[in-house]
Amino acid sequence: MLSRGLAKGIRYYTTSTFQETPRVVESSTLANGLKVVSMTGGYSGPAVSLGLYIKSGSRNECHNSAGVNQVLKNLVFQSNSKKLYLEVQREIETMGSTAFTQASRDSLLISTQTLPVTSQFMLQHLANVTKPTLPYHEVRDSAAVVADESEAYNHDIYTTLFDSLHQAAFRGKTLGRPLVAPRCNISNLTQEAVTEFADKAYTPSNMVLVSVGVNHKELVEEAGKLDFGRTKSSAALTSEPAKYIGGESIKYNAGNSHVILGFEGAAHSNVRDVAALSVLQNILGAGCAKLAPGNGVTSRLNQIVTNNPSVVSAEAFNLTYGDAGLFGVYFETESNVAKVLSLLTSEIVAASNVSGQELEKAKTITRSHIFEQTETRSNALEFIGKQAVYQVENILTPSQFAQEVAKVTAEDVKRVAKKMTSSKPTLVVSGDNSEVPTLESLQSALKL
Amino acid sequence: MLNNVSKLFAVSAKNISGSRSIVSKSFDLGFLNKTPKTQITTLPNGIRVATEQSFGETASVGVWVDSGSVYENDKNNGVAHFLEHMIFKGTPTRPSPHAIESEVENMGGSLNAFTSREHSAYYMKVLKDNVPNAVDILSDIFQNSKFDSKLIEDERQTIISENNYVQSKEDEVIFDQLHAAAFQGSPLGRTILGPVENIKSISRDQILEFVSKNYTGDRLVVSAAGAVDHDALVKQVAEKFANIKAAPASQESPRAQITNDFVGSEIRVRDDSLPLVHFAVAVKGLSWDHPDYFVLELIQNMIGNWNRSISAGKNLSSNLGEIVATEGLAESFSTFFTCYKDTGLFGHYGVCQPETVDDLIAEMLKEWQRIASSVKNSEVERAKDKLIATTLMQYDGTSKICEGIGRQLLTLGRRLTPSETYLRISEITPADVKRVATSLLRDVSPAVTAIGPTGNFPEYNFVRGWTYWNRL
Repeated sequence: MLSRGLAKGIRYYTTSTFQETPRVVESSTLANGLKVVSMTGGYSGPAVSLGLYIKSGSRNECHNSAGVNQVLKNLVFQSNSKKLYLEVQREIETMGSTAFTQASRDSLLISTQTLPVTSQFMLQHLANVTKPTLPYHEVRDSAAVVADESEAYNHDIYTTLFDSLHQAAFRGKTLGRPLVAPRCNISNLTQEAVTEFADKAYTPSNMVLVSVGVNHKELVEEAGKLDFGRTKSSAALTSEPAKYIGGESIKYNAGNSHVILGFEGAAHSNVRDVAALSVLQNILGAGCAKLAPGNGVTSRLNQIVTNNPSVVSAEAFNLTYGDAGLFGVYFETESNVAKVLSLLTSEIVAASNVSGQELEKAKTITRSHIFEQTETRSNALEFIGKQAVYQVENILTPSQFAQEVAKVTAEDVKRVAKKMTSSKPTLVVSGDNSEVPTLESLQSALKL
Repeated sequence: MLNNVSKLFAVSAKNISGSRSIVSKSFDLGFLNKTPKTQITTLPNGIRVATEQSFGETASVGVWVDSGSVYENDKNNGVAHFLEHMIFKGTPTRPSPHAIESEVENMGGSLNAFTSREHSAYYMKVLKDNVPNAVDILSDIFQNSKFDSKLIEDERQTIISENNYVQSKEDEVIFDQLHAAAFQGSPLGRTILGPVENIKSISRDQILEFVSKNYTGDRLVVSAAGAVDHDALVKQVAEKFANIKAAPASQESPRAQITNDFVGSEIRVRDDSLPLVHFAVAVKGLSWDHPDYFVLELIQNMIGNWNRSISAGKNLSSNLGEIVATEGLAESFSTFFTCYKDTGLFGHYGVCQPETVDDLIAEMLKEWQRIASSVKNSEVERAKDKLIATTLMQYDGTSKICEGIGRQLLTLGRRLTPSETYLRISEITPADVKRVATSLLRDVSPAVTAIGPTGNFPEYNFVRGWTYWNRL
């Protein structure tokens, strides 16, 4: 328990010692191959974020192991070679950590927050969780949880639609592998399958340690004393570069129609194109019936929603991965899929020709979003962590990326729009599938 | 990061049930002060301007008003919320909703608002150079909104559909019913949106009257966090909000007296077509400024929350959570602690299968008695570490900080520093926990509300009886 003396002692801390410092990103690679990236400076509150990326995800699974990454996600805070499930849970909970794990197509993120005084303790936990023991009963229980999760995801139209988009765009390979564990494959997610995948994935050179608010030198020093990963050497995971192909996935469904029109976007490392596509995304914006200013009320897509009562919502997206990207628009409509698609294609054509005030507005919104999103510790952690996962040479701070956005010109927007519409689009429809235009007719409407 | 502490941590880590505290072993608490200082200035008309300048690229700035549905009466219940909708609809210089929207979006900012029972808030987030524009917009809508009659008519339908949405959410309905039961006869018992008859009839005059009575300088706080300069903001607010009156002309108390601050009572709505029972069991909690505020928050954290998808499964530290998980008693439960100016609510919200509802409520109230009578020192220490960390983690991003400043100035009249938070939580003893739990959670008449298939829902006297143990 805290001694009264110490408690009295801190009464003397009455004045703020906060000073303005710029945000800086530093990165190092340890002898074992573990990459360490940290952001310091600025104001990140009295707590710090510590996270670990494992650079493999559903894209590294194979036909029989689809869903393994999702099982591993649920096993992160369970038994490892240093601590039991119960110890891991309670100790991390005590540090007040809002710890979470997130399985993606190309990574598994373990994100935690803690106070500076317990950061070293949390770091030990992060090293420990890279050595899961994967006992039979934990894998079995975790697979059962995955079955429940998949069931829930299957009812979530947004998740299902985006999974279909990736499967069609990459034709089932790499980024097109199912993100949500297919229910029909749960029985194959055995202890052996999970262990085999973890042995290959949980190696120090396949990981990135990320922090926000922790001194880089001290982090590198402390991380160097710890042992990350399950095995010293092991066969690497199968991995091939993602190749965008395009295609369609059209399904009947009762009720409103949910549609995604997608295109080949830009890889994360292609900063110039990513910046231009982000601007294009904000020119299109988003729309639905009730929007507060700042969410796209004055955007082009909200015009479509306002002028067409049957359109429930619309939203532009710009997804980036290490070696590929997807750009597009998702919308929900009560009727007339073909008409909305034709409105959309002409809006995309118009958006690619934007200049002057509208372009400046979209650039300002994009810059503003970058700063707002990276204000919180865990989002800042993902901002720099993603770049490290995607092997970006110079990891950009939010300000540096905002500067890239400021440089975007009307020609850049036109160029990326032209590039993306020159390849075959990807169309996903779930709903009224009787009047869906062909990919060829969509493509011909998109001559830029 | 600290050096040389790994050994100590390893010792305490082995002894999970021991009473050693992880946080308190630290040597340097200086990090608590690496937080921007809160600067507060009171203007001649009573408006308090409070800022925490943390530099960066963006700023959050908002106006927090000590005004919500508790300042209404039966006739105008819903007007505070209606006003929140109408305030964005135009002023002489920004004649239409679209004019405000495009001005905000052109500068890459955002603008939003909320109304609760005791507060209304209007806040913007902007890039650092646009802080003056944000203050200009906020001051304009505060002082010059036209409240166009035609737009008021148009807005009724929007609010009615918002009301329909709220009525379709079981948790919203449960909490509205809980307020209606626990605070019956007092303004806290009314809903924020108001009855549909009021939404259909609230007039422009009622809105204007509400503004002039309640949006006065003594009840406004302009708070800002991030890239803001305090002196510049004070100067600008003094200039732009100059027409706000210091206090209403009339001397009558702006809010009706809370006549009966808590009534043990029950509302249950049986609907066997629903698959699950949703319920709340609550007792009188504490007000915002109560000295035991953090003790009750600690108890809330100790009892904890649980749902099927949490990763801890059956291994979480919450004793109640462990029982619910292993016995399969619920789909989810949470422990809530809602504060008001002169009262509060403390209790559980639960969602479960109809056949387990009696066992679930019995276990919940049993846990209250266990904490009041025999809470373990180790539990208290562990919960303190957790509460210190989670509370300090609230300082994250300018929006949360700006909101924290605004809320604390309205409720406490000052800003809690990280050091004070740390100190007050770390000084809590197991005896404090037992004292507060005994006085609030033992032998009391709770307010109980439920909807769904409530055929197996325990009778009120059972629930009442579970709040004491004869053996104590």
